[in-house]
Amino acid sequence: MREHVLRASRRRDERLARIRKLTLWITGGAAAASLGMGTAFAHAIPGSSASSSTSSGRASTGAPPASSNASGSAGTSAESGSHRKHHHGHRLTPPAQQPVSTPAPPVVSSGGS
Amino acid sequence: MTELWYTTRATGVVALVLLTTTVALGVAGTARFSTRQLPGVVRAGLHRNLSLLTVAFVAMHVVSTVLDPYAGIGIISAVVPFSSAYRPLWLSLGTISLDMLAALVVSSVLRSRLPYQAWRGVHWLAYACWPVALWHGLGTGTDSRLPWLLMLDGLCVLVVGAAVLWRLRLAGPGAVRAAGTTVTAVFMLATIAFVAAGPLQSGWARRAGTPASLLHTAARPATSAGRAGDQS
Repeated sequence: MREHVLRASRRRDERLARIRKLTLWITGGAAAASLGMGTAFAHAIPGSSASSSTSSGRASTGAPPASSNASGSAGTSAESGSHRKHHHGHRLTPPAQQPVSTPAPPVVSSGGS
Repeated sequence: MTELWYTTRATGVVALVLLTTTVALGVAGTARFSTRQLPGVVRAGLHRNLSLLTVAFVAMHVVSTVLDPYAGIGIISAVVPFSSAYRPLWLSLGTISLDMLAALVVSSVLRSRLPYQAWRGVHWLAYACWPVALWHGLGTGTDSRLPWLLMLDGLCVLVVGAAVLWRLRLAGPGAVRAAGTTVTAVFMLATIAFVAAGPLQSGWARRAGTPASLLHTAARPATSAGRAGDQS
């Protein structure tokens, strides 16, 4: 009788421990998934970083190209907002010439008084 | 504050996945489902803990939405349906889902003081909470057209649909089974049709009820400009 009670008690403790363990794993997984998805959204949907304006990011949004929306309705123009950002966010090209120093002496002007 | 915006998106998606798991475990519980790996006590304990975890993620989702100044969704709009100018119908589905979840939590906390039938009746709201939350995500979700998110939403629909159909099959033939099967099939088909005709089509941002002021910000090349477009 006593052994039966002990066994039932042990089994209950094991199951409670399993619930705790599974809950912890799922909580950790949910937190990690949140972080991962936040990062994925930041990369997939333009508007957050330079890397988001890559062509792959645009493709993943599935929106039509900006040129086709430029004269569209308000709705379509809103949906192409990300592409407008992309349009404005063209990669910078290096200058053709190195900057040169001016031969003129520096001019210092007083602020008054 | 794009970080808040991404937090809103991520916590919303995770909350839907957790709610899906909770509903599936709840459906399994109504049939006293139990295996060697998942005894009834463990299944019931997981169901309870995941419900609380879902509430925690929904709270984060709501708080980050309210704190994000972009769409201007206040605390009132978060709890009172149809009080926001931003996509009123689709945002209100989330508000209704939140209110139902709050009723579930409060009734569960007060379970010992409520008649069992009353608690049980309120608890059935969980089944209504899930489809409402799913459609809120699809309609308001600014990222519904992302392929991996579409697959995740589809997986959630499949899991709950399979759980409900399995439970109905156990109930045996009858009017309830036929009606339940029909409702489940119609819901799944309606969801697919809605996604195809709504969020996947261009112009969804305008049709969903995004304020004109936010639609126009998309024309500006500011950091937040892409957001109105993605809130499609």
